[in-house]
Amino acid sequence: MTNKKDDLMILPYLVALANLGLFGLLFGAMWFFELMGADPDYFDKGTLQNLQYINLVSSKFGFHIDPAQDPHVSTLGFSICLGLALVSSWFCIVMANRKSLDQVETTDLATGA
Amino acid sequence: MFTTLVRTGQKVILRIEDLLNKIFTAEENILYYHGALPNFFMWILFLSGLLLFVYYIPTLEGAYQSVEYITRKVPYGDMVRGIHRYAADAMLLTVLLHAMRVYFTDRYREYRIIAWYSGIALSVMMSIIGISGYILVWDERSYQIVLKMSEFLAAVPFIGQSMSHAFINDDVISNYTMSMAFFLHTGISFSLLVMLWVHYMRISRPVVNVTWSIGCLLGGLILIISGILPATSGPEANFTVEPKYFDMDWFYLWIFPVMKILGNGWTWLLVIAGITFSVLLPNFVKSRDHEAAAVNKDKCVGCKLCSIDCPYEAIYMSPRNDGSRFKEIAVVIDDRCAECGLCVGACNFDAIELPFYTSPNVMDDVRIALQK
Repeated sequence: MTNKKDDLMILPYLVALANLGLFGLLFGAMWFFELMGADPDYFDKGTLQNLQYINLVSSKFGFHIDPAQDPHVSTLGFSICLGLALVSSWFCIVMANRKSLDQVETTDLATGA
Repeated sequence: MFTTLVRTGQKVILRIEDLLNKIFTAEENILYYHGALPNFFMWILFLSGLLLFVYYIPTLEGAYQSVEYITRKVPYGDMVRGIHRYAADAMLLTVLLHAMRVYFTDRYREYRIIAWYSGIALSVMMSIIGISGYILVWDERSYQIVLKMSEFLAAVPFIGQSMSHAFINDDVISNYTMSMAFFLHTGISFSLLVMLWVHYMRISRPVVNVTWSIGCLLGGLILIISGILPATSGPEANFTVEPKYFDMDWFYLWIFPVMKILGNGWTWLLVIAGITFSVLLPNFVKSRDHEAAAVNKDKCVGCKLCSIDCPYEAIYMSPRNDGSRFKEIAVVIDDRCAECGLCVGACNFDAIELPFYTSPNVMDDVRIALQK
């Protein structure tokens, strides 16, 4: 017996993939802008310029990254990337859990149990 | 009136739980781990505290500099400090959530009453740990906390001066003050574990850990918050300058604005009234009569099934010497029985019953429900 829920089972995988993609993109962006693991003592002109661009956008949300505040830039990048990765992991597990429950319901419908 | 309030609270909580079940499934419903959530944050606090302890120097000269070193020089030190600060706030918040859930769903009576009282003791201990933690930074806020705390303690009749000397000895803030704050912070933290043992003592199979996925969610959120809003210090405490900086933490430092408004005496009264109210809270709602499961001697064959199935360890097997051909009989410990009825379901010989709700009553109710 085919159930419409079967067609939706791909959704958790898509969401999980999108989350991982987002994490990768964020991590890559942090790396590209030299914010990941960077030592503020060695910030060059380019990095400071990058920070200015980021601040242009982030200040719209009331959020400013101060390069003078020693290691904060590096920490910020690390905590956001790892934090988002953990939160998205939770999201993926929840989605997978929902999927498995849907599967049980589908089986029940199929067997009439 | 109070009972209506509690029933309304119960309905609201159960509705929220039901909604979360629909969204996240029952396995991942964060509210089902309300007791494990403070534990999760406690372990984060122990771990991050241990990392901070490696660099921290508990002296007047070294405290501020060592905290600044942790924040500015140690790789990801500011993140660890932020995690320590926000996990402490989250722990207190989840303790409140836990207390509300327990109270509104009537899970504090009979054998659980020790958990309720020990929970109050744990909350008081947490507050002391939190306040002493803010002294350890030794910035202007810490200086003000020490001054106000010693005044607050001194306001207690008879023993106040002695208690106040725990912070300021001979009117001088010295390394003794820092040692005392450090002792209160770390010593009571480890005592939490002992009190937790008391908290769990009467509860069989308590949920003490969150799932991995919920751990990921909470850990991730704490990480993000500690990155975006790093924990910082104010200017270093200086005895020659009047301290002004006081960055407020409403979870742990709420008592200081109250002291400013009400004065020390009234604040003491408020604190004592709050603790007394929490202790007496279980008595405000009328409990139903407690009737533990009863064993029918003639039918019990000593098979142990009820004893094995009881989640509250309320049934034990006792040797019988009444001439029966069976060697043991089940005995119910009244104070531990939660009247859950699991033993009734476990018994194949109808030898154990809940006096107020017997098996025939249950069957009648099932028949009526099915007819409806």
